[in-house]
Amino acid sequence: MTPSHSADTSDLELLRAHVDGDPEAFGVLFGRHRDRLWAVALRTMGNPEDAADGLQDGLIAAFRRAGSFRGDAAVTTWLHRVVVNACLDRLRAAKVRAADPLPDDLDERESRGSLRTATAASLDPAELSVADERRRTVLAALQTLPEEQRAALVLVDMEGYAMADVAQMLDCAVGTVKSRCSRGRARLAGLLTDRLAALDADPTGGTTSGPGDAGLGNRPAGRPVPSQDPPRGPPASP
Amino acid sequence: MSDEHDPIEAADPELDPEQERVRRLLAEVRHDAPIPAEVAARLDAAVARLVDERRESSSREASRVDEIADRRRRKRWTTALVAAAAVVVVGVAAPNLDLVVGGGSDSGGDAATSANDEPQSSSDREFSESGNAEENDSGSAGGSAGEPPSSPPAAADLSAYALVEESTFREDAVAARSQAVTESTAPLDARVVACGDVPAAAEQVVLVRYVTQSGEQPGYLVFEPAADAGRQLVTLYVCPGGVPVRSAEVPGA
Repeated sequence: MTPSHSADTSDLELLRAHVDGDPEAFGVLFGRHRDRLWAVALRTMGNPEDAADGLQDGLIAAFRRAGSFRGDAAVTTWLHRVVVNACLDRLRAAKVRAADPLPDDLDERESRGSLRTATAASLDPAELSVADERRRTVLAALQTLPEEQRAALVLVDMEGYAMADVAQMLDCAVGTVKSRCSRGRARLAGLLTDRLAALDADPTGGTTSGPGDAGLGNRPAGRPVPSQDPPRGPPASP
Repeated sequence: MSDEHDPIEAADPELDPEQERVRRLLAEVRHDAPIPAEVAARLDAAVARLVDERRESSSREASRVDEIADRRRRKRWTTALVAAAAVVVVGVAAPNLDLVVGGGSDSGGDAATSANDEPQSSSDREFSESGNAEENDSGSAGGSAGEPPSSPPAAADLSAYALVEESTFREDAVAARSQAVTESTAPLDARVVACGDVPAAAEQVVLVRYVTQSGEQPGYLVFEPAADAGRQLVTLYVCPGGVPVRSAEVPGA
């Protein structure tokens, strides 16, 4: 943070300063949101290499197109929109057909996803192993969804953004976001039930505590799930 | 940004239990860790590069405006000088013309022809000088640094260059680099100069054909010097205008 851009400087002020030629404003602005944008890119793209490429594409696009920002939405919403679009463009270009059935090489796909998520430190190794396996399974299943459904679920269910904001990010109606989320969840439910049930039935790690509670295979329908790791939600704009 | 919902703490009453469980599963696998240091460094470098490009572009634009103004001034002086020279030529030739015409009818035809030729050739020279002035003017514009002509290289000229496909960008870029003979110290290919600008940080520039679903497009890859980890950034610019469209990190050469 430079002396000319304190924490009190709003995102909008930074963006306008950048458009006016301030050489430092964009770096400060992007620095504020890049952890969040990274998380979205990572979960949308499915692996760190592609996520870094997508995030950089988004950064370049945002830098160049800052002058076109009209102020209809929050700056952070606009940044997410640019980055998500850059990621989706890459996915489409690579012709990723994520809607295919859960692939045979699921194990290989699982190893590509980043597993760095919050995990309760109190879990024993067996529980951690099951939690990691469950996480891999969920992430691998997520990668099989069509990219629009995946992006909607990443933004709504993982990152906790409001439907209205996600609609702006994805440039579609709120109803479309809801529909994509619903279809994506339904597909994931079909994909995950058997696998998570098998995982929970594993005698070496058959625990039902911690993250295992979130599985689909062994929990009565409708039972509330306690959260040890609530989503962050969007950052508050200065 | 409007208020977000909390997928875990505030369950959506519209969701059936199965969807609700999937939603919770997804919330639990969100990525919490900060951006990796190497990615952050890469983004910082990208921002610095963009800022440099913008600064160079601004200064180039300013010098271009100066150059155009200077050129207009030169053109005005050239026009004035040519006009003055024409006045002198007419002033000198006119009295002679009168003398010749008045000298005798037998030689009048030739003299008249000669006299008529004189202004004609003078006039020709005048246009020629003017034309040359224009030619030189535009010639210097075309050859001046930082102001490449906008015409893209002909597709036929690119047939020998490597193909870079949209879907296999990273692999194709590495292959193009290994096939290229361009050295960092070699002068830039005229086709690249004709297409667009090259960042100052470029270590190697390779002309390619960029293949997308919508067709083929001439362009060039710009490889930047390898970072500490032995990886280097490659960016694809397409013609005309040298518009950056893709970038990726690849292992250093």
